[in-house]
Amino acid sequence: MNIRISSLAAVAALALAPHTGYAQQSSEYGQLKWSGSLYAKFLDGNRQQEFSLSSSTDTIPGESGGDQGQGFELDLKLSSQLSKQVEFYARIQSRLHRAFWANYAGFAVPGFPNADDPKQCTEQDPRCNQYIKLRGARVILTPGYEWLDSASIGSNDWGMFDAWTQGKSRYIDRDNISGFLFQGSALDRTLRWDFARVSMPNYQGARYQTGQLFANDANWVGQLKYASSPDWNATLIGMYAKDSERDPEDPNTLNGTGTFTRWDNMVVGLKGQFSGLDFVDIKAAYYYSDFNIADDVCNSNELNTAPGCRWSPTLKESSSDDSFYLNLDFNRLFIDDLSLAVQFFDIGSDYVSVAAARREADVLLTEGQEATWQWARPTYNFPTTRYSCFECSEGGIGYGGWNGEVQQVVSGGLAENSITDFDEPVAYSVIGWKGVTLVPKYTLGDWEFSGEYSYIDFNTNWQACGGADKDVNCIYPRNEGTHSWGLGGDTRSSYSLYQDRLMQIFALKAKYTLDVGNGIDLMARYKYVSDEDDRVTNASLLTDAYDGYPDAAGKLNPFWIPNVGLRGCVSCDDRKADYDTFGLSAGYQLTQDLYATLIYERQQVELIDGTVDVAPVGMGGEASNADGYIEYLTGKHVKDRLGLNFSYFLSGIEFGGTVDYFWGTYDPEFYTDDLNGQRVKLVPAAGVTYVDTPLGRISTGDVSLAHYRMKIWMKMNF
Amino acid sequence: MNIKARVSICALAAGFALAGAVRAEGVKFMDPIGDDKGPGNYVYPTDGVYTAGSFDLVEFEVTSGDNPDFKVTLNDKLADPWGMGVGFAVQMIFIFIDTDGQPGKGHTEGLPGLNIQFAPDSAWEKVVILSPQPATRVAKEVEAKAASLAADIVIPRRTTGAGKTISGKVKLADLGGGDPSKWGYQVVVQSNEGFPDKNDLLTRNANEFEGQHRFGGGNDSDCDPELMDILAGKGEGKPEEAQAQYDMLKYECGADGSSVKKATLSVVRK
Repeated sequence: MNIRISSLAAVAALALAPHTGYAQQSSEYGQLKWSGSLYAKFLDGNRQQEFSLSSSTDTIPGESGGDQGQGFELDLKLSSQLSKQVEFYARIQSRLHRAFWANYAGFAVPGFPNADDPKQCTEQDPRCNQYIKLRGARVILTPGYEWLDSASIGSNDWGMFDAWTQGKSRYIDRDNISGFLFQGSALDRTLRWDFARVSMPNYQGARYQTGQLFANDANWVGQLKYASSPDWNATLIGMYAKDSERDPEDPNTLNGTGTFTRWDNMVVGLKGQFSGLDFVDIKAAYYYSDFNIADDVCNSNELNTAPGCRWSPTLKESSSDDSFYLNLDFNRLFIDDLSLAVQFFDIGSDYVSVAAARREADVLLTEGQEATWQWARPTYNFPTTRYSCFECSEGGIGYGGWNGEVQQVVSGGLAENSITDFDEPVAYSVIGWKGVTLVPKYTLGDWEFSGEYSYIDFNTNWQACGGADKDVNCIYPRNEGTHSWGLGGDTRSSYSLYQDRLMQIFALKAKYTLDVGNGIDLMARYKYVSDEDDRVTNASLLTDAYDGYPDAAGKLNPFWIPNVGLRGCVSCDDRKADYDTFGLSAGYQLTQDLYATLIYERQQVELIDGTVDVAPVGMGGEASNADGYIEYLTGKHVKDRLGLNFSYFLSGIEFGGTVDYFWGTYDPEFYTDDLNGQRVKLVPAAGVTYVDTPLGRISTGDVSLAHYRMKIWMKMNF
Repeated sequence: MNIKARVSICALAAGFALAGAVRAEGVKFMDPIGDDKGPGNYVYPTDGVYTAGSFDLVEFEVTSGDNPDFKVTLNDKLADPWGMGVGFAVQMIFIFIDTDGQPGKGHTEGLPGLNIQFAPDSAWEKVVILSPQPATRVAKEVEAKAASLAADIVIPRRTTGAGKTISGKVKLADLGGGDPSKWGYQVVVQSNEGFPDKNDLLTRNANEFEGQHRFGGGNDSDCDPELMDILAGKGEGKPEEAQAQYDMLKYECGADGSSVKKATLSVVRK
C-alpha cells in the first residue's frame, strides 16, 4: 500500500510540476484593476407601462414590459493577475429592473396600483430597491503544466463551445452561469481541448425546472479542436446534461439517499471547415441529440393540465434526432466583389439541447422573418383597460415589435426574449426547420448590394402530432401558443398539432454613400416572406383537429357556433401570409460627435388565417380576448414606421437612442366555406358591423393603431 | 402586393447591380496563409467567435482614384457575432502608410496597444484604421489615447465587411494626396476590443497564456507586439515571408516586463 501511495504521489508531483521556471515577473502582477460602467436608460412611450425598465419581460408574471422612466445601473469589475499562474475577475452590479429614479432609491415606491397588488414594489423588494449583487466571479489558473493550459473556476459565458450544445447562455447577463473549465493543447497546439462542468440553471429542464434536487445538476461538455493546417480544421464536441432527483424508494439517510435521473440529454457533434479551394470555402456540422425523461415527469396524453408539461423546453417523452448544416461560401463568384454564401440546413423536430444558446447566437444564415411581427402582442380587436396585467394583451412589447434582427436558435422552448428592449434582436426557435438559403453580396463602386433567398420546409410538418389522434401520445410541448408563425405567433413554440407549412424569404438591400457634405449613408431594402400552412390536409382528421379543448370553455366567443368538422373543407383552415417590407434610411454625421439616421419602413401583411369556423388547433384558454395570446388577425395589415436613431460619443462616454413612431391599420377580412368544401370570402352585408368568430365578435371596420416609443441610453466606461 | 410588383422590384435591383463600372487599377499585396501567429508563436483566444483564419492576412489592396478603397482580405469568412452591423466584428485593421519614402520623416512609434515601432526608413505619415466600431467612437478613442498622432490617423466614414474582405474608403486628400501605388504600406491585423485596457486603442491583449478573449503566446506585460499578422518581405505571399514576419516581430522583455527591444516593423512597397 505504501508503495502504491508513494507511486501515486510521485506521479502527481510529476504531473503538477511546472515545466518551466518562472523567474520573470511582470510589473503588472498583483495590481488590482478596477473598471466598470455606469449605464443609464431613459424610456418613454404611449403604452404607459411601468413594470420594468425593459421593453419586454414577458416571462416574469407581473412584470410585463415597460416604456416609462429613467434608471441607473452600476457595474463594477475587479480583476488582478496575481502571478503568472493566478488571476481573478469579479463583477458586481446593481439591478436596473425597476430602479426608477422616481423610486427615490427604493424608499418611495408607490403602491401600484394598490397596496395589495403583488406588483407593487417596496424597499424590501429586490426588484426595485437598486440592490447590488455578485454577478460574476472567476479564478483562472495557468499552472504551466504540459497537459493543462488553464483551469477556470466560476462564472463564464461559455462562448468557447457552440450554440448547438453548450451555448452562450444568459439570464440578464451572460456570465451568470458558473462551472469548472479546463483547457489544454497538444501536438504543438494543433490540437486544443476544452472540458467543462457547467452548473445548470434551475429553469433548464423539463417543465422549466430541474426538480427539487438541483444544486449539483450539471452539463458536462468537452470538445477537441484539430487544426494542423490553415486549410482545414475539425472539432468534435459532446455534452451530457443530467437532472438527478432524490429517489423516494431509497430515502434512508443512514446509508445515503439514492437518486434517480429525472431526465438527461446527450448531444454529440462533429464540425469542420475546409478552405483549401480557391473558389469556395466549405463549412459543415452534424449533431446528434438523445433525450431521456422519466415516465412520470410529463404526460403526453395531457395537453394542459399538470403533469402535461404544456410549459416545457424539452419533449414530453424520450426521443433522439439529428441536425446538420452545410455552408458553401463562394468568395468570388465569376467577377470581383461578388460573393455568394449558401447554406443547407436540417434541424430535427426532436433535436433537444437544453444548454444551447438562447439568444446570443444565430445558427442560420437566413435573416428570417421580420422582428416587428414577432409576438408583439398589441391589441388588434378589443382595447382593454386592464393595464396592469401580465396575462393581458398589454403585455409583450407593443405594436412596434422589435427593431433588431431575428436570431435563430435551437434551444427550443428556451429562446429568450425576456428583459430585452425594442432595439435589440429577437431570438426565435428554429427547431424543425430545413431548407436552403442563398445570400449574394456585391460591391460596385460606392454601391453595396446584398440579397437573400430562402426555401424553408419543416420537419414539424405532421398531422395529429405525428400520430392518429392529436390527444394521444403527443410528445411536443405547447408553451405560449400553438404555433411559431410570425404575425400573431410567439417565438419559442416550435410545434403545432397539425402543420403542413412552407416558407420562402426573398430580400434585397442596397447601400450607397452620397458624397454630399460629410456623406449621406443611404440604404434601401425590400423583403418578401411567403409563409403558408395547410394545417389539416385530410378531411378525415378535421374532427380530431377541431373538437376543442376543455380549457377553451368559457373563453371562446359565446355567440360563435362551432363547426367541428368544417364540413369536410380541408382548405378552410389554411393559413396564408404574405409579408412585404419596404425600408429607406439616411444616415449623416451631423457633428464630429453625433451621427443620426432617419428611417422609414412600411410593413404589410396580407393574412388569411382560416375561416371564421376555425378555432386554432390546440387552443385553450388563450382564446380569451383579455389574454391576447391568440387574436383574430385575418385581413390586411399596414404598419408604417418613422424612426430616428442616433449615437453620440465623447471620450469615455457613449449615448445612443431610438425614437419611433408607428402608425397603421388593420383591415379585417372574413372567410367561410361555400358548402362545397371550398373556402370563400365572406363579405358582410350592408349594415353588418361585426362577425362572430371563435376569437370574438370582430368588428368589420378598420382598426387604427399607433405607437410612440423612445429609448435613450448612456454608457460611461471607466 | 401582387407578384408583378415584387418581380419589378427585383428586376430594378438587379439592373442597378449589373450596371457597369470601370475598375481603376491600384496596388495589391499578398501575404502567406497560416502566418497568423504574430512573432511566430501567438495563438487565438479560446472563445468560439475567433475562428481559424480570422486574423490571417491574405491580401491587401488599395484602389486608385480620389477615394481609394482599402481592402483587406483574411482567410476566413467574416462574421458579426457581436452585432456590430457592418458585416464583421472580431477584426481590427491598422494600415500604416509611408507616403513620402523619406527615411526619418514621419512617425516611428506605433499606436497604443500595438506595442510596436517602425524603422526610421519606414516612418509612416498616415494610418488608416478599419474598425467595426462606429467611426465616431474610434475617433474619440484616438482623441483620448493617441492625441498627438490624431492628425495623421484617418478613419473611413464607413467600414464594411463582405465575404472575407474588410474595406473602407477614404479621401485621397485626407492622406495628403499623391499616388497610392507608390506608397509603402504595413498592414497590422488586430482584434476589435470594445472594452480595451485604459491605454489601448480598441486592441486586444496578448499574454503568455491565451484566454477566452485574449491572445496567447506573448508576455503578460506590454513589451510584446500585440498583433497577429502583418505584411512582410515583398508582399508577394511567398511562404518565406512568414519567417520574415516572425523575424520582424522579434522582441525582448526585461525581467520586470519592461521592453528591452521593441518589435520593429518595415513597410512594404511595390
